[in-house]
Amino acid sequence: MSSSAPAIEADAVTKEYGDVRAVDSLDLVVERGETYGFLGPNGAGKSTTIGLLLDYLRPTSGTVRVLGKDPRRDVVEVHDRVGVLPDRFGLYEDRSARQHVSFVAEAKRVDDAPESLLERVGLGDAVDDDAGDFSSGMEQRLALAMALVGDPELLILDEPFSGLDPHGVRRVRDIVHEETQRGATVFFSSHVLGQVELVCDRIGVLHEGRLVAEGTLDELRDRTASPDDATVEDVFVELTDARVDDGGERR
Amino acid sequence: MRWSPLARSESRTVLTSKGAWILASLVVLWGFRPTYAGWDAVGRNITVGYIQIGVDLFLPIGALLVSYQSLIGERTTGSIKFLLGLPLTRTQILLGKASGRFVGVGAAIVAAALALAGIGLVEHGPFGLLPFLGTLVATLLLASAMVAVGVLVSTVTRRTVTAATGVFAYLLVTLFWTQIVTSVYTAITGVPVDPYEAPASGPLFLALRLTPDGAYNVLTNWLLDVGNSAELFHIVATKLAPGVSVNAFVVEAAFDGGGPWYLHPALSVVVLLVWVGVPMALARRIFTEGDAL
Amino acid sequence: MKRRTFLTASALSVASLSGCLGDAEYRITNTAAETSLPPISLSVDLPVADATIEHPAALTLTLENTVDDPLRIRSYGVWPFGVLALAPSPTPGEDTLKPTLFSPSYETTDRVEVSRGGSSLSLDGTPITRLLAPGERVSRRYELRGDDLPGSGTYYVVQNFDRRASRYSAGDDWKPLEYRIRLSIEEKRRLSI
Repeated sequence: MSSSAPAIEADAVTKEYGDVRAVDSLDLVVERGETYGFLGPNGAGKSTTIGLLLDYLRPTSGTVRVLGKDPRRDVVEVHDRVGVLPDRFGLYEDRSARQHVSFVAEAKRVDDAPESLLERVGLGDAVDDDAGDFSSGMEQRLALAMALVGDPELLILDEPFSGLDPHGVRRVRDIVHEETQRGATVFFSSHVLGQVELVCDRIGVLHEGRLVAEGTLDELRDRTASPDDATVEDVFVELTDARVDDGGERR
Repeated sequence: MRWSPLARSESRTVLTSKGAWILASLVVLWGFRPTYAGWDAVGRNITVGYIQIGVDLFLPIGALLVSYQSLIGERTTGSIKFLLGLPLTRTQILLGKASGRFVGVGAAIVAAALALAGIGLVEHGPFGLLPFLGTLVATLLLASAMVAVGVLVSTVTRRTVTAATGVFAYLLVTLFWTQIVTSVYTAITGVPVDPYEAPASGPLFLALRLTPDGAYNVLTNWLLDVGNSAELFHIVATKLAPGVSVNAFVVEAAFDGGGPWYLHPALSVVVLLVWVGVPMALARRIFTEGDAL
Repeated sequence: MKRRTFLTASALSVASLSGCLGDAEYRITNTAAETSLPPISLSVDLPVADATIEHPAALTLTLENTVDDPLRIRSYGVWPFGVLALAPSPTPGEDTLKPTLFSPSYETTDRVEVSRGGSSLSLDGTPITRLLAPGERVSRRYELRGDDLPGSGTYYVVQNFDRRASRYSAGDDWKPLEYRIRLSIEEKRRLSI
């Protein structure tokens, strides 16, 4: 059952903080093996949605399934099969990169070698350095290495390109390709638009907590009546501008 | 167990921190206190009394300082996002946190107790193994109660400042516990409490031993066989010595024939276990409900 | 960091306090006894020099008749020294704090009662007179509890009860049994922290 279930299913998911509706009746399906780009401006509700997928946060209403499982009730199984690169995270300053990765490996009960994972993300020469001395790009790489532990079926990457130099960006893109080659599903959020078209099979655009558009880049171009050579950025601006107007009307 | 890597990591955090070892040295330095009253009370077992003196003052504050940031700290830095992403239920996260911090604090405090035992052995010669081992167990029980309180504070609060205030409030209340209890007792019953001639009131004496450190003292005084009281051992012995007047609440001095059953010193084990169980249950309830960020 | 600084500071202050946390313990480092009485010699031994929490210091006072005639010695309470105490001067004032010296001989008599707290009571005002044969020695053990001492310094063995000094007589007239025993007492430290 669950092996054929979509990687991510959100059904009418709403998350409210008091009067603020961070996620608004979100319906979302990400199929197995897809690379899905979750786009939206800052504050659109991307990280909140990811928090709901991982049971960091609990929905006000609606249901979430990850790999066919309930992220709350089946949290152990879901987290065992999912790799997470969170947004705005902090590292354990007095621990080395190796310790960070082995910590996740021990918790996931896999015997991945920290060195090879760190090598893969470009931290091969900082394996035993304390994370407290890392630049933000190195922190991002280390967090990615932690997400890759145990060859997860689903990778959830929240703003994976932030803080990276062009080499780092290229490396993340390569890793996403490698992971999808392996058969993993990759779900990542970004407000860095240029990367999305290079990586994603499908794109969802989130704006003010709502999914305002979804599809391949071509489909989105068609929907917004953008020219065929329109970039994802053009499409994105088109879509979110429209929603800002809508939002104006709602109020 | 699923959460043992987390527990290992937590205990390593404690044991590599200066705090744990400062706590251990404070326990030794404060505890080692050769006194005539102490020797007259328990002889060579004064070595066990040193442990009581050091632990009574410094373990509660030390264990709280080591544990109150366990969750709030990760919330503040954002590392909680990795923690919550591990294949663990939130209950397991709490268990891993609490047991890891407990192992860290416990190891530091056992090291302090062994240091005091070594000093006592050299200075005074061999002491009773049973009171020593019993006191060690009681000390670990107190450590687990204080870690449970610290983890609860860390779970309830959303800001480090609030958590620190909570710790401070707890310490203040326990520091003035005797004054609080006697004032409340006088307010309710209208009977003034003279600590030199305490009224033979079961509830009054029970209330005095309901704090973790009070229960710890009752238990260790029982092991040292000095008397039934939440005070330090040499004060209890002095109170019960003929012809000496001390302001201390000691059951044998206030009651003819031992007092009511619920003042039995062994029940302090129950008090300490409640201090472990209730904060952990509350912390679990709060942490598993709603958003964890 | 602030917390660590605070803890380090408190650790250091506790460490510097640690000598003062326990009760003071003492060691008698030097004794000197002298009498200017021709027929009598007095000596002090120190079987136990340390007055610690575990045990009191112990002095043995020995009186010897050094002449060929028997001597009579008259004492109050216990024979031949009486109830003794320490004082900072050989002739203490009435209100000087005098740490009592305990003696096993107090236990065997009904004439005095000396309590653990140091309060002493003379229950029988009549003196005891006994003979000290030529060459005879009499020794009595006195103990000093460390918690009775107000501090280190030089102390003298004095009578606990005023005007109850022992007297001796070789014939008819009673002369005061005058002697001076001086003790140098130092504080003893347990651990050199």
